[in-house]
Amino acid sequence: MAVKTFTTGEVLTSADTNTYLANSGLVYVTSTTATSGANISMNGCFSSTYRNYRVVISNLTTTGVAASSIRLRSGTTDATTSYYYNGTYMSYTSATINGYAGSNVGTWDPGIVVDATMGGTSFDFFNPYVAFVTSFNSFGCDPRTGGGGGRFSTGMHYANTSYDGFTWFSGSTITNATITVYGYRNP
Amino acid sequence: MSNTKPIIGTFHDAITGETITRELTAEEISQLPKLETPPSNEE
Repeated sequence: MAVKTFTTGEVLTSADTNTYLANSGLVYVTSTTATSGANISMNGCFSSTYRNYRVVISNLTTTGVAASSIRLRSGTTDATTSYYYNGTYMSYTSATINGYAGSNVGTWDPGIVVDATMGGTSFDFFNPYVAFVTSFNSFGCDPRTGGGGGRFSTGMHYANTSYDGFTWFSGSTITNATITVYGYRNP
Repeated sequence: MSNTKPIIGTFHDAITGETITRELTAEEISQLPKLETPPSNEE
């Protein structure tokens, strides 16, 4: 859609507003907040409406330090095999790059470290609802005071399967976390 | 009576907008990923 430029005094019609809403870049799909428990499952958040998705976790605090993990989900069942990924992480005080990897393992490690210090992160899923390989990447943050730093991870779930959701395993006990899912508008 | 602390999960249904918090089933618990302490970024 071509971007329309409004001029001073021009009436913004409902048709124009609806057109802009329908053609926005990231479109809100769903959101939930948890203040207890260990895991959050998002069911039915992927559909044929969007091909790719951005997930944002914000206001994130837990009772302890842990490496969180993610699984794709179909209905009420998580996919427990066939994850391939690697990641890098650096501290705030050094340019040294460290790495980690997983090959045909049971979860994706998105590099999202949880702690009592408030954190947040985002990650993308590509083609989760298509019966094809799903790929993903993340921009994690390790919020620990001392030892914290940036973490990045990318990989894929190697199965020609359609998924309509995911589970995020905090690895700890959640005291606060809000997960919001957005769809990338299809061209 | 078991002294095992129940494991709680949050389940959000994007279709209905409903969020429930409940104990995980034995099957769900058996499939939980292994807990890991992440290495320090300074290591």
